[in-house]
Parts: sequence; structure tokens; C-alpha cells
Amino acid sequence: MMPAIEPTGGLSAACGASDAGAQSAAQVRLSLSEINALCFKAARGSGLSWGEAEEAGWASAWLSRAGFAGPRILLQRLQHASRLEYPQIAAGRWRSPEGPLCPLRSGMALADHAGLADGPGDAAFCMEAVCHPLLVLPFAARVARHRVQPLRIGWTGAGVTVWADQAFPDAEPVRDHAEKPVDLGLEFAPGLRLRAPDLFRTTGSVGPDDWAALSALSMRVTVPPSELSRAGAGATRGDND
Amino acid sequence: MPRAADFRRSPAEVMRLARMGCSHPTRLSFLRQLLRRIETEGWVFDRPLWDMDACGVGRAVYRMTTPDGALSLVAFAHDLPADQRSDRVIATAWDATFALFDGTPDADDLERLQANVPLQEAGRVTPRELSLSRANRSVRIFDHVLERLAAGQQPDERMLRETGYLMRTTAVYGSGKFGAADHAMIAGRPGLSAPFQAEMLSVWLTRAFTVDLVEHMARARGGERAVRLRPDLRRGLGVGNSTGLGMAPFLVRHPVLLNNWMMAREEALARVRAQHAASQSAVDGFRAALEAARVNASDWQSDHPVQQAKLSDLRDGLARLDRFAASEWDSSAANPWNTVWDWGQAALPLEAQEALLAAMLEPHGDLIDGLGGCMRADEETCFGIDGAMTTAELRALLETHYGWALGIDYVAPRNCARFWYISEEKLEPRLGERFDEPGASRELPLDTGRQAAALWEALRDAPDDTPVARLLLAHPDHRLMVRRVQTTKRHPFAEIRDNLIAADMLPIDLLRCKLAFFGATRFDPRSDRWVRISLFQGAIYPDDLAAGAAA
Repeated sequence: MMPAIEPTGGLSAACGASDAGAQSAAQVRLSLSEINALCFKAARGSGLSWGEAEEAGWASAWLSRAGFAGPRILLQRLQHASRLEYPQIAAGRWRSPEGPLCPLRSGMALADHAGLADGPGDAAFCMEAVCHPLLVLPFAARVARHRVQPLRIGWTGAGVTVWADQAFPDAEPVRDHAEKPVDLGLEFAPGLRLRAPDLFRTTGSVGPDDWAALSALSMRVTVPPSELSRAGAGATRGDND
Repeated sequence: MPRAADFRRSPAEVMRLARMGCSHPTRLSFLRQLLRRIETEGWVFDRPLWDMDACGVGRAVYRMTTPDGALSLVAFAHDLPADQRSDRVIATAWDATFALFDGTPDADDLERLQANVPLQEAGRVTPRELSLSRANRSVRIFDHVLERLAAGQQPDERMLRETGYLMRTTAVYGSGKFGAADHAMIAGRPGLSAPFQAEMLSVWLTRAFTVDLVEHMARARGGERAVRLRPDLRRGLGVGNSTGLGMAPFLVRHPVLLNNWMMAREEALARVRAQHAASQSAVDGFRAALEAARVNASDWQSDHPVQQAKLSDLRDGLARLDRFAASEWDSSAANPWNTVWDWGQAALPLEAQEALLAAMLEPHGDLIDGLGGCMRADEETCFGIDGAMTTAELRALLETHYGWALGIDYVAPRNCARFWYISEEKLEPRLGERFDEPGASRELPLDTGRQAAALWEALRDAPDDTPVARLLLAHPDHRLMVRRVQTTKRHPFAEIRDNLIAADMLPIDLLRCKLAFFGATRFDPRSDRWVRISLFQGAIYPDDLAAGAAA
């Protein structure tokens, strides 16, 4: 069942480039756990492994809490027309000879390598040709927590510092370039003083078309009913007792 | 005092489905924690709205004023035709529907809730709501009580005792469902930080509503002749709950939470066993708890063969325990609690062993109630993968916590007979028969044992010093299981140590464990995957609070 649609507001100013456009006329408001659950299933429905899909759901909710249009950003990645690659790990510079990098898989690898020598450290660190770079932010935030230092991620025309599960853009709206691959430079900013956000977001928004597209993807993890499944689900007797 | 650590049961003993399926509520159960807090903090109850017609159709507000503000159950009572009464999640109409509202609802809030709450899953609520639920009448009991009270008589005590409730909830949705507040939003409030406190409060207030409703209808029908329900009969009523497979995967999907529930309970048992001596009041409390368990076991009815066998075990075991405690147990000897526990391990079936656990915890509030504060979980903090962990350490964790899973032949039909999936119809978890039903290609990852074995296999040729981060680049399909295995490093009770897709796995064992942590009694399976229970039987009512009654 489609959730109620409400007029746009609240988040729209903070959603970055990805929330602009025709869909801003009406938004579906979801709790963060609904965003996590919807995006988790949609990611699995579009072919990610279960463990990666869990991360995709978590990342979408993280982005929504930080003020970005998490579900939309994930959907753009899931609908990306061509193949996106895993990074090949080398000290200071991650890339793939096969093509542009997947932001989810690169982000997970980034977080996984937080304590390792060939992960992000004090030296210059770059990930080449990443599509949908905003999806890297939640994972960068995990690295920042591991190092107990703010971490700035910069790309052409934009930069965002992540710290304490919050995102601090250099300027708004954030240019995310979506499908066009960009090189990401990562740099710790230990001395940076960041003002705590005024708003603790407890919900996120998604446009009705995006909501429908994510729901369609999420339905790919479900199984249609059969006589046997219906018979097995409930009590063996009636409930009028 | 000896160290409690020396008396802890191991996860290998505790985390088996056969034992988890024998769980009994304890004083650490969530509804007990709620009632203690309500009394300790002096929450105040009132009912600012009761707008109900003679047929029992209308709405009401039940409000608790807490140190952190008001919480209000908004109740809508409906006229439900019998042919629409179904406890299943696919139902679309109910006898009553509810939302727990954060604060005191004004007229606009009530109109908004009136437009959405009766629709349940088909409506939307907002972060002002902490839960969404519904209940159906136990027709036989509700009509009987109504008829008797209207005629100026009390209902049949035996009937009341056997069923134990006037209405049963068929779903209580919390944390973020259908637009409601996420648990993270309320976790910082002391009154709601323990697991499922909003849901438990909603059910407790629903219990009061069910009695108010039947008394209201009796007055409307019987006029001057009508009487109220006798206080002792009223006290004996709980709220029923009917629940199915939807709840079963929860314990698997929330490993850190499961660990914290189990560890708190196990630490409580260890502390009690570790005591050198038993005070007279604790011994008296223990004997009273055993007597209460005996009465409960004798009132506890079920037609289900599995549960009948368990009830028989429980009644026999409690009788043996009673004899032991009366004639053989020397409570003044050293380590008396460990003595009775060790005796129980040798002499009692699982059902009675776990009942003994609950009875031993009962008189030790001062020693163990603080552990209730350890039963919540910050799951997000535990979510990240430790990519620097070596393959050798991951392997060692698998050996320690998944040894039970590694030797199973998962190709044998009996070991992979089932698959868990989400139904397209209601988006609810279900359990399928792999070799009889379509859909196994969309299986949910609840096959934890099989995945652990597959991960073990994938690690076979990896060098010991390879970090997990590198393994996951080569084997992204194992990411979910790597996370689970790493979770067990600091959370040894995180994993159920049984094959959840085996032919002989009983989903009701998962349900029983979770429901016992809620504080449920009278576990009554209606199939191997569907169960009725009772909540709050014997507990105080909100309007007892002002009178200063004790729980």
C-alpha cells in the first residue's frame, strides 16, 4: 500500500542535487527504519548479495538522516545502466582497469580497510572514477569513526566532510554528478571544528516515482502465494472462538 | 561471594532451539520491567476520553503521565461481523484498533488517527505514534462475561481461567512501522529505553480497555441490574495475543539484541547460583514462585500435541521439584541455590529446568533487576565489519561458535527441507517446503548454519594472515555471514545454534523464546508456526496505581 503523500518541505532544502527536479512536487515521508528496510530489499532485488544489500539499506537511512535523499541516491545506483566495478586495492590509489567503480562496493571496501595499511591513512588517498559519489559518504563516516577524526571527501565542484554520523558539505547544494564518474580525494581533517547540526532528522522523504521504483525492485525478493503457503501460515482452526 | 562467572551456562547449552522453546517469563521480562518502572516512578493514570455507544462502538484515550511526559493509548472500538474476524495478518478489519501516542492527543490528532488507525497496515501514522496495534474479541468469553454482568451475575470462573482474556491482539507494530517513531527516537528516554516498552505499555492499557468495554456494554444492556467484574476475576484476566511466523525471524535478524537478552538472563541465574547462603525471605519467595508456577501449569491448556507433551513434562517436573524443595533440599547448607540447580539439571526435563530458572530469579530482585538495563542494544554501532581481522581469527571464531554447523550435510533433504521467504501478498516472513513449493530462489538468509559452513569452506585455502577486508573483495557473497561471525566475538549468545532450515525445526520454539522475554504466559500453539499467548495476567491495572496496589 502506498504511504500517504504530503507536500514537499522539511528536507528539500538539505537534500542536495539529487532531490531536485520534477519529483519535488510531492514526497512520501518514511521513517528511517522504513527507508532501511525498503532499500535493503530493493538492493537485494537488484542483485546485490544479502550482506551488501544490508549495507545499502543502512547507507540509505544514514544519508536520509544526514539530510540527503538516501532512497533516490541508492535508486540511481541500482538503475545504473552499465556495470560498475569493485576497486583494486593499492596503497593510496584505488581504481579498476575494467571501468568506473561502484560507490557501494568501493564504500564497503573503504570501511573494511579502515585499519589497514592500504586503506585511507595520513598520506594522500584517491579513488578513481566513482559513480554516484554520495553513496560513499556513509562508509567514509565509518572510517572517520574508526580513526576518530573528521574525513573530507572531495570531487569536482563539491566536497563533504563526515563526522559523528553527520555530513557537512563545503557548499550546498552538493553536486553529485550521479552517473558520471568522478575521482574522489579523501583527507582526514583532525583540527577541523564542526558545528553540531540544528536538526536531528527522524524521517526521510522519497518521491512517488522513486518510491514505486524501489518498491518494484523490493518485490523481487518476495514469493507469490501458493495454496500450500496460504495453508501453512495461520492457525489450523478458526478464530471465532 | 564466588564469582558469578564460574556459574554461567555456556552458549552451547543455552542457544539450542529445544531449550529456547522451553523459555519461561522471568522478572527480567519486558512487561515486568515496565510495571516495576511505572510503580517506582509513580506514573499517573487517567482516562481523558470515553466516547462509546451502547454497542461498544466509539473511541477512548488512556493516558499515563510519566516523568518524561504523557503517553496515551488511543483506542477505536468497532462493530465487526463474525465472518471478518481473523487473527491472521491478512485480515482487514478488527474488533478494536489502537495507537500509542507520544503526548496527549488533541482533536486534530484524534481525527488524523481515526482516519488511519482503523486501517492498520493500509493507513499511515507519524513519528508522534509509538505503536500501532489491533485486537479481536475472544467471542465466547466476551459474550459470556457481557451476558452475565448485564444480568447482575459474575462470569463462570473456570471459563475465565481457561481462556484468560477478553480480547487478543493480532499484531502490535512498533519501531518505525507504517511511519511510527523509530526506536532510536525514544531510546534515550529512560522509561522507553528497554526493549519493547512502548509495545508493552500499549498492551497493558489495552487490557484495561477490554474490561472497561465489556463493563460499559453490560451497563448499557442491563441498566441498574448490571454489575462490574469482581476484582479478583478482573485481576486474573490478561490480554491474549495471537502471533505467527512474522515474529520468528526477529531473533535471527537481531543477533546483538538476542545476545543481550540471553546474557542478562544467564548472568542473573549465575548470580543467584553463586550465593553462599539463602535468606529466609528468598527461600519463601522461591517457594511462592514454585507454587505460582504449579497453578499456572495446571491452568495452562493446549490442544497441540507438542505442547501437551511439554505441559506434561512441566507438571511432572514441578511436582518433583516441589517434593525435592520440601523434603530433600537443605536451604541452610552452603551454596543452596546451586544445589537445587544442579539437582534440577539431573532430575528435570528441559521444560521444568527453565521453569526452575524463572522461580530462582523471582525472589532476587535486588541482586538481578539492574541487569534489565543491559537488555537493549545499539545495533548500528555493532554493524560495521572489522576488516583488519585475520582469516585465522575468523576461522577460530567459526570453530568456537559454529562448530555445531560445520559438520552437517546441507545437501541431504532433511537438512535443507525448509526455506524462509517473504510473501508477496503481505510482505511477511513465511516458511516454505523446499522440495514441494516454488520460491526457494528467493530464500531469506536465515540458513545461518549452512552459510557458516559455506564460509568455512571458502576460507579453506586462504592464508592465515589475509585480512577480512581482502577476503570480502574476493567473496562478497559471504559478507552477511562474516558480519554474524564477527558479532559472536563480543556477543557469544548472538546465534541460535541449530539448523533453521532442517525438516524437524519447529518455528514455535523461536516464538516461545521471544514471547517469554516479553513476559508472555500460557503459550498455546495452534499449529507448528502459530501460537496464542497471554500477557499481564495477574498484574495490576492502571487504575490500581492511585490506590497504591502492589504488583
